[in-house]
Amino acid sequence: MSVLEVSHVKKIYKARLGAETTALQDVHFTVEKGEFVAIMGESGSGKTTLLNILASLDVPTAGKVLVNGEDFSQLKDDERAIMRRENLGFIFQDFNLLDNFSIEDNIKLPLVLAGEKPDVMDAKVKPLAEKLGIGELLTKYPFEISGGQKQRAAIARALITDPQILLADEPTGALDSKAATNLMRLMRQIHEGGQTILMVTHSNVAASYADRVMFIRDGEVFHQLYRGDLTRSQMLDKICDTVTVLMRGGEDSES
Amino acid sequence: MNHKLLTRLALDGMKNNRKTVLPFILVSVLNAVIYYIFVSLAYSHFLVREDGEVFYGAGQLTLILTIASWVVTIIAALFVLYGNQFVMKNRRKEMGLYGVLGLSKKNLTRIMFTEFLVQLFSILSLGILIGTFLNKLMLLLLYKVVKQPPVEGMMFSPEATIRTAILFTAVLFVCLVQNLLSVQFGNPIDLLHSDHMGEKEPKVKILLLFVGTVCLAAGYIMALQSKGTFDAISKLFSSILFVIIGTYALFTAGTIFILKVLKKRRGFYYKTRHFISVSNLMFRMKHNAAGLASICILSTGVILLLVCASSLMMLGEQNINTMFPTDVMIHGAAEGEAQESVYESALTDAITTSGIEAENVVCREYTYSMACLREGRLEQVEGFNFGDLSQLKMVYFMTLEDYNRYKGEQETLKEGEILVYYNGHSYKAGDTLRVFGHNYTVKRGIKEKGLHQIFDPTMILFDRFILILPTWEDIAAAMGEEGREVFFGEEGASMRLFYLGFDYEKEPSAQQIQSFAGAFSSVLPQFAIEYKAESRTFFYSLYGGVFFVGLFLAVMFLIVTVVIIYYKQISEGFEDRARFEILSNVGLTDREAKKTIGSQVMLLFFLPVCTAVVHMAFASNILRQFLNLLVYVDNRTFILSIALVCILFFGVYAIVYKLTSREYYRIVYGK
Repeated sequence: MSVLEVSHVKKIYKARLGAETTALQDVHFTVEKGEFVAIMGESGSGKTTLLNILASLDVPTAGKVLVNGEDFSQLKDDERAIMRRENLGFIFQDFNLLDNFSIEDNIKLPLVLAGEKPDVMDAKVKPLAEKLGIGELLTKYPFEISGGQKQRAAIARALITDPQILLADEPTGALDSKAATNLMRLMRQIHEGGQTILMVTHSNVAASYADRVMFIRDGEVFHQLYRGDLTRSQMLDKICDTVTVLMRGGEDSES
Repeated sequence: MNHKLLTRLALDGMKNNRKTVLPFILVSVLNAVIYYIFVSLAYSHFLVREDGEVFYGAGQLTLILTIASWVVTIIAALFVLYGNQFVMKNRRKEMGLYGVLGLSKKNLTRIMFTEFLVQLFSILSLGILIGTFLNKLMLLLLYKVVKQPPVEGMMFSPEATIRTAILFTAVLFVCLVQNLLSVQFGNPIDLLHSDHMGEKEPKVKILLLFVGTVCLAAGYIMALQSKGTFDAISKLFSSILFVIIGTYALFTAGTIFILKVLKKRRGFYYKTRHFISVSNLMFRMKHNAAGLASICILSTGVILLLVCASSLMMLGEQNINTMFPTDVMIHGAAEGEAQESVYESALTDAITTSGIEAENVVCREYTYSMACLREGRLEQVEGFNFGDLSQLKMVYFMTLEDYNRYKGEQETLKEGEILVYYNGHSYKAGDTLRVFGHNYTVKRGIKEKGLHQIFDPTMILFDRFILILPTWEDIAAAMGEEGREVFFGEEGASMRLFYLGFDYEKEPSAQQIQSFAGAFSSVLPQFAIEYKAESRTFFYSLYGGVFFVGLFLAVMFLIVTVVIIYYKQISEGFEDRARFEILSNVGLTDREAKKTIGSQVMLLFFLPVCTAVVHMAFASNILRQFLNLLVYVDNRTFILSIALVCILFFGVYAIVYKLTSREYYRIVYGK
C-alpha cells in the first residue's frame, strides 16, 4: 500500500472581493513506502501550497490526501495536529528551531507533546543525535551553531518520532553549497535506512539525490523523472535538461 | 518631495498602528485632563482668593493639589517617554522601509514632525476640552468630599491651559528628538531587521538572589517589628527601600532561579504545558523582570494610596471625636488656689449668658507629665534621641476624689496604691509601677471612659497613662521635681489643669458662639476655646484633599499600569506568534496551545499584583502606625480597608487581563 496518496487535489484561494486564485489545479500522485521523492517547481508553481496540504496545515478545496489510507482533511483541527505529530516529520528552509530551547530540548519537543517519559526520550535522542553528527551540540542553543548544524537538529527533531513520511521544504535553501551537499548526503543516508522522504525544492542539485523527481507547473504535475540505475550526476543532467525544457515551454505563458 | 504625500504617509502610519498609537494618545489625554484639573483647582478662586482662603483649610488643599500636580507631571512624563519608545519600536520597520524606498532623512523628519503635531494637537485639544468640562464637576466633587456647600459659576482656567500646553509640548518634543535621533543614526537595513537574534538562557545571579532575599526579609521584618508611630517613622522609609530593592532583585534573579529548579525536575519539565511555559518564561523574565517589578511597585503604590486615602476618610469623623471629646473644648491652667467650682461656674454662666442650649457639660481637673517607659518603670526624660520616641509616654494624674466624682464610683486607695489606665496594655491588681523613682502597687486597672476628655489632642501620638492618686499632695510627691519640670518649668507655677467642655443640644448661631466666647474670656482670659465644627472643616479639607487627590492618582497609576501591561502583551504577542507557529507545525494542538498561552499570560500578569498584595499584607502593621501621625487608625478598620482595596484592585486588574489577553490571543493565534 502507498504511504501517501494524493488524489486530484485542488486548491483555490478566494480573495475578499471574489477574485479567485487557483494554486493547485489537479494534483494526483502516490508515494510508496521507502521512496525518496523530490517535487520541483518555480516559485508560484504551487509547491508550497501542496506541501502545506500534505502536512495537513491546510485543507484542499477538492480531492483527498490519504496517509496510510487515512484522510486527514476530515479531522478536526486538534486531531489533525495529533495526526501530524504522530505520522509526519518536518524540515523547513529556515529550520524553525525554537530559539529559547537548547538543541536537545528542540529535538525532544515532539516527544514531549506525545507525553513520552523523560528516560525514554533520553534513550532516543542520544543515538539519533550521534548518528546525525550533532551529539556534541545537544546543550547548545540554536544561535550558537551553524546553519548546517541547525538543519541537522531539525532533522533529528523530525525523525525522533519515527514518522511515516519526512516532509522537507527547501531544506538546503538557507545553506551554503558545502553544507547543502553534506545535508543532502545525510538525507540520502536516512533514506537508505528505509525512511520515506518527500522533499520540495527548486535546487536541481538537491533534487538529484532523490529517487524520483516530480515537476509542478501551474498547479499540476507536469512531468516525472525516475532515477532507475542512473548515477547522481547523470540524474542531475536529466533534471537540468527537464528544467530547461520546462522554462522554454513556459516562455510564452510566463514572460 | 510632495508635502501632501508626506503628510498622508504620517497619517496613514498612525492609522495603521492605531493599536499602539491610540492607547498612547488616550492615556496621554487622561494624564493631561488630570493635570489640568489639579492645576486649575489649585489656582481656583473657589479655594483661594487674593484676600485669603475661601474656607478654613483651603490653603492646605491648594498645597496638596499643587504637590499632586507635580506627581502627575512626573508620571505623565515617564509614561509618554515609555509609550513613545514602544510605539516607535513597532514603527522602526516602517521607517526602515521608507528609507529603502528612497525617502531622505529630511523627509522622514518631516513625517515625524507631522506626527508630533498631530499627537500634540489631539492630546492638548482633547485634554483641555475634557478638562474644562470636567473641571466644575470635579470642583463640586471636591467640595462634596471636603463637606463644603456647592458653588455657582463656570470655570475656565487659563493658568491650567498654559501649564498643560507647556508640559505636554515639552515632553512630546523630547520624544520627537529621541525618535529623530534613532532614525538619523540608524541605516535603513538595520531598521528593517530590528528583530532581535537568538540568545542564551539566562544564568541565575546568585549574588542578586542573595541580596534580594536578604533585603526583602529585612524589609518585611522591619515592617512587622515596628512598634508604635515613632518606630514606624524611623523604619518606614528604610523598609520600603529594602522591599523595593528586594522586589527588583528577586524578580530578576529569584524567578529565574525557581524556573531553573523546575527545569531540573525532569518529571515536571517534560510535560507539554510546563515544557513550553518554563522555557518561555525564563526568557520572558530575562527581558521583563524589571518591568514586572516596576508594575509590582506601582501596584503596591496604588493600593497603598487608596488604603491611606480611604482610611483617612472613613476614620476622619472618629478621629475628630477623639481629638474633640466635646463640641466646645476649653483648656488651660488654673491660677492661684481657686476651687474647681469657680471654673465650672465660669463655664455655666457663659453658657447661660449666650443662650446656647448645651448638654454634657464637663469640667475635669488634672495634671500631666511626660516620662520614658523603660522595663515597666516610668522614668525621667533625658537626652532622648529620635529612636527613643516610642518610649515616651504622656502621664496624666488625677485625684481619687475627682475620679470618683467623674465616674460615679466609691473607690478608695491606701497609702502607696494607685489606679492605672494605660492604652498600651492593661494593668492588673498587684502589679507594681515605679513612677519617677517611687514604687506604687496597682490596686486595679481602670477604663478610659469618662476620663477621656483630659487629653491634650496635640499629644495624641504618644501612648498615655492615667494615674489616680489619693490627693494633690500625693500627685505632687509622685511627680517630684523630674516629672514637674517637663511642662511646668519654674517652681511654684500651678500644675492644676482644667478641661472644660460641652456639647450643643441645638446648633447655636454665630452670634451665640461669639457672645459665649466673650463672656467666658472676660472671666478666664488665659483659657483657650476651640470648636469642633471649625476644626472639622479644617480636617476635612486636609483628609478630603488627600482622599480626592489619592483617588485620582490611584486611577491614573492604574491606567498607566494597565497600558504598560497592554503594550507588553502586544509586543510579546508578536514574539510568541512565530514560536507558536513552529509549535503548531510540530504538532501542538490548538487546545494545548491555548492552555499553555493562558497559564503563561496569567502568571506574568498576576505575579506583580499578587506580590503587591503580599507586600501590602506585610506593610499593614507599619503603615497603620505611620498613618497614626494623621489620624488614629484601629486595626480592624485598617485591615478591612486593605482587603476592600485589594479586592477592588484585583477586580479591575482581572478585567484588564481579560481584555488584553484577548488581544494577545488574537495576535498569537488569530489565523
